[in-house]
Amino acid sequence: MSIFQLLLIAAVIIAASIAVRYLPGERSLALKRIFAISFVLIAVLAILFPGVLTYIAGFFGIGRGTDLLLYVFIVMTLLFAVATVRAKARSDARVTDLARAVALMEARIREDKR
Amino acid sequence: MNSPSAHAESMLNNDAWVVIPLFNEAQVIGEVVQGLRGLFAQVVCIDDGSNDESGTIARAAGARIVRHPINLGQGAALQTGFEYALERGAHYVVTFDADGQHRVEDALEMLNRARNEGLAIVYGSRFLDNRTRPGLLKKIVLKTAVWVTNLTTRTRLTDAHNGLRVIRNDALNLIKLRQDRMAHGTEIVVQLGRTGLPYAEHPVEVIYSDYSKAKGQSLLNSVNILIDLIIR
Repeated sequence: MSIFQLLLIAAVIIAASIAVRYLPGERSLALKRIFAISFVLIAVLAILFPGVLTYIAGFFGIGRGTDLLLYVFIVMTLLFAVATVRAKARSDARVTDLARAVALMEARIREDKR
Repeated sequence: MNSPSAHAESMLNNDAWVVIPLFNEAQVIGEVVQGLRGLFAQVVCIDDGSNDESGTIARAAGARIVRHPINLGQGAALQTGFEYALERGAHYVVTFDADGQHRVEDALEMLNRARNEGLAIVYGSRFLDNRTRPGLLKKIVLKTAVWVTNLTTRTRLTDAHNGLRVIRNDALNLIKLRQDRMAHGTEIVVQLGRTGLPYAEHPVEVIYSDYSKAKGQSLLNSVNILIDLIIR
């Protein structure tokens, strides 16, 4: 095993554990953890046996393992972007409800004083 | 015996609340509120986090103020106004723009029409007569918005993004605006259409002053409206 492979494996495990720890949402937490663990396993295998990637790529008719990696990376990035946009929309809606509640409460308090 | 509408009118339309989304309109809001107060006792401005003196001026002119702690957008301000008015027992809500582009007489006519014809919603339309003269570009944008709105709703209107509407409380109770920004013009029609309550369009004049022209929605903003509607 080369030093670079060791470094990559360490990076993958650190990234996944941070993701598992700081991703919000109770309901999908278990799913996210399973996903992160399987991601680690697949990543470690791909780092240790780069030939496997090329074999899988060949099976799907892509050719090189690096190409397969690139395609998966692009798809994952898009999924991440969509998830982020949706999470922001949900959070915006919550902020709106909160601000509205504050505004209406303030108005009630002011009118009671009169 | 007085008819219910004559009775309500003698009490300065106490059953109706005028809801004005207000964001940085210090120059004109005082005049707009004063104009309304002659005919409507209950005027509430939703100050959407203005960073000028809009709120203070509106209050001095006799409006009640509900202040968003942060800027949320016109749709959010309307929804806040609906909840405020419903809390205080409003029977009708009149939505009115802060920039002085609507006529108070039109609002009153629409309210009386809602009362007399038992309508739950009266939409103002600038395209039912030829008093209003929008520019060609503006007309194209507005007509596109109507076309999209009619495409996606069961309602058939001639003008979609007109800020002057009269909505009865039973219809208000059934809607909740989620489009914080400008796309609420279509969203409100979508949601009101789903209630299946009787509606009508009423001809109104939109006054394009130099002030409202300078502040009005740009063509680029209509792109935002379309995209906001597609991505929910």
